[in-house]
Amino acid sequence: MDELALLRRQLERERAARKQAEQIAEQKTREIYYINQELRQLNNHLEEMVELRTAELAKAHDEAIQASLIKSQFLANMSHELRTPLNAIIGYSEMLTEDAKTLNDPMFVDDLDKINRAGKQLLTLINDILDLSKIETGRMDVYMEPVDVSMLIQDVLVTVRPLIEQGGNTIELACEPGQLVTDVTKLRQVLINLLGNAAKFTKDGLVKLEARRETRDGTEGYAFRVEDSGIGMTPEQVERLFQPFVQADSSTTRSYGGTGLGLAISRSFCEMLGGGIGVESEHGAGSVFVCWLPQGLLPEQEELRSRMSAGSAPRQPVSILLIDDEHTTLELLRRYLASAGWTTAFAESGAEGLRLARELRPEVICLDILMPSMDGWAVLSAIKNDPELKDIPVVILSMTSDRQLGYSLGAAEIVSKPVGREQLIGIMDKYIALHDNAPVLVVEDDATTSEMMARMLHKEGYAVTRAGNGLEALERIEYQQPQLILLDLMMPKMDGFQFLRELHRREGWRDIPVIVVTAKSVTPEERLRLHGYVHEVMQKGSFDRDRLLTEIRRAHSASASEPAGPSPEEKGMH
Amino acid sequence: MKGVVFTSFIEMVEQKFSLEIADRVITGAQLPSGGSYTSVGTYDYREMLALVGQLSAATGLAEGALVRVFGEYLFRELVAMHPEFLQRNQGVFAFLEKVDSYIHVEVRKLYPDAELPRFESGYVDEATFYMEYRSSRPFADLAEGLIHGAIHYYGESIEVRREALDGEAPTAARFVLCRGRDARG
Amino acid sequence: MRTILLVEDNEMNRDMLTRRLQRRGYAVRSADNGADGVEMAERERPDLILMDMSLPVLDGWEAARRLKAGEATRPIPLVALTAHAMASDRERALEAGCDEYETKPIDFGRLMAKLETLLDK
Repeated sequence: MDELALLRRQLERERAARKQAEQIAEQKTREIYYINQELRQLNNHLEEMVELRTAELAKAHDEAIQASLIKSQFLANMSHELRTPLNAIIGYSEMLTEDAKTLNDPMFVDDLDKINRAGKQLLTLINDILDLSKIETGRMDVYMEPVDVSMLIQDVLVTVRPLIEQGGNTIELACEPGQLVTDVTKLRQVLINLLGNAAKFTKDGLVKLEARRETRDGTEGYAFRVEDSGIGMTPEQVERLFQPFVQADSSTTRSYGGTGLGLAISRSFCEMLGGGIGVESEHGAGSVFVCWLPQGLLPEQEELRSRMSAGSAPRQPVSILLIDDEHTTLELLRRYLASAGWTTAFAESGAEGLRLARELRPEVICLDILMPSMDGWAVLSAIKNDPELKDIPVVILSMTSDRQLGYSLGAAEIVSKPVGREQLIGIMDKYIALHDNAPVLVVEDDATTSEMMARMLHKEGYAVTRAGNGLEALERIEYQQPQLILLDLMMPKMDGFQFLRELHRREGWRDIPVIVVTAKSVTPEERLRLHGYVHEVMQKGSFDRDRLLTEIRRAHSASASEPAGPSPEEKGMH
Repeated sequence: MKGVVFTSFIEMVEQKFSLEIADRVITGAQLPSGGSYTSVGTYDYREMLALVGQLSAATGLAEGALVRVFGEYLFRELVAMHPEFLQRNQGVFAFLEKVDSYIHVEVRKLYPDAELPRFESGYVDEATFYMEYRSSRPFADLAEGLIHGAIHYYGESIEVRREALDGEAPTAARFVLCRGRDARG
Repeated sequence: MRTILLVEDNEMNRDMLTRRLQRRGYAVRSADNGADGVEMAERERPDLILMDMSLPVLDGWEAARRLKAGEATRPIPLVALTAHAMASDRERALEAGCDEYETKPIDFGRLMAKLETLLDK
């Protein structure tokens, strides 16, 4: 009886304890629920904020572009506005000078001459400032054309002769006849700048101009040497020389006038054309300026060259057709892509783009959406409706965000301008199938993972076969030998290790590169077991897509370029 | 104090003594909780003191000794519940060093306002380790028992010397562990 | 005396050029927009046409094309005056049929040399 009571009490206590535990559990569950709610709200809020921020950024982006366009427009307008009254000052003063000369009034002539010279100085200054502004904002265009060097030199001399002779100087000229392909206007400006400086800083001395062919770093070109016997410069002065707004020192500005912009512009021009300016000077003994420019390429030649160099490029011959009406963007894109080793062709209008696309059949087309002559959307539509062109992936470079329209019309990818180099190359890489449909076998029992890897590889241009375990995999290989195997370790029926052993038994199969992709943490012993059998072991969950793809490429190209090993045909692949 | 201590205690009494004594101890202690403990609950530490008192009266054994023995028993229970923590540490000293950081972090995760004792420890030299227990609750004996439990578990030959902190108060103590000497002289 | 038709919308430029050309012994007729310019050329058949390329009503390029398309006006030497110094403008001028071009600000001496060359042909 006593024992019964005892047991009953114990039971009571147990029951009470259980109820308490249940209460605590329920309370905790409720807490979790509320916290989840909070998290969800926070998440939504975050997403809203991200959307907001993205919209703000897009707006800021558009505004920045607007501002930039406005600035360009402003510069262009200013240019005109500033020059017009100056023309009047210069023109009228010249005219009045003529009148004064006929009236034989030397004082008038003098005064009018001063006005004329001041006007011309102002004009030079304005031109320099506008040039510098254009250079600095990247709006300076380059226009390549052939020029007869002797004729150019003569032309330049005509302009600078009065200036040189004014200082009581004599001119010496040496010119090696020939042609140079470069931006003639800029070269002329540089030469006039150098000769003008020589004239300015030399009195009763000698100014020599020499133009000779010169090859630098294996590139043919012309060197223009301007030597004077003037005041020269100290090493410190030379150092400050090419900085804009800094003349050798302020005392020279006062004595010799000038703005100090000319050399900065000249240097920029030379660099833009692929050359450079060098200087040697001795204080009190004169200076030598040498401007070297390479033989440039005319636009047609450039295109031809890039098409021809396709054969010698390290990568397979690939071409990207760029369609963009904006010359600077085209140049930029061309430079980005050229450095990545692809060959490019370009078209400045939709119509030309379509023509070239049909002629060249590029692997990828890069298309600008906003073009005045032919609406980019219309071009895209035309490409996708042309049976010969519709399979070429089109990457749209756009300043608008009509992604939906783009994708619905068949664009493979839409990138917003301004487009960065890495970004562009990354995208191109996706579509340029270097892999020629190389067969790859994915051995993985988890359906989702298998699916994901297959899709990833397929996009890279590989032909993918899948197997759910080691046995299946061996069967697949019997049927068609892959060039690469992606292998999971933990699988039913026959796991990764066993599979590898079997693989190694077969003569032709043991050379197939294998990349192990596994969720299992591989112990050092296991790694040892795998060593020699596999190309690389990658941890699922810790690897990222790009690294995996890099490994795959490495494995693939390593086996593809094996000179000693048997060729795919010899291996018995069909 | 965490429910797990109470549930372990009662289990120990039922096992080592008898159901009857357990019943007597619980009833005699006149506990506000009625002696119904769930391991996930939290209860007043004074109930533990009451239970210990009752057990001492019922068995005639000293309270301090009872608590020490309980400490060893409790340690074994905790091992069963959190084996991974002990596996991570290769010896008594290593284990005790981590007590403060690991256990307390784990406890605080689930019970942010748990009141836990502070443990400070360190090496006097390679074979000598000290651990200081400080609490607002008088369970230095329990700590001692747990330490012994650890020594038993790892099977090391370690001698424990207890020194008083704050006078003879049971809320603080310093334990000096020497390895390699005769265990339990 | 030889006649030059000057098509220039800026009053000061027109005035300056007219006076200077007159001083050099030319008779000068002027128009201040492209349409009038073309019409005057057809009507009066000057010995040479000097035309600014940015004009109101009818743009200088278009006017140039029309002049070179017209039976009567084609043989008249046409000199374009362009405000920009870009090489592409030069190409444009020559493409539109201009016989010569000169960039502003005008180097009067150089312009005279060009005119004389064209008129002596």
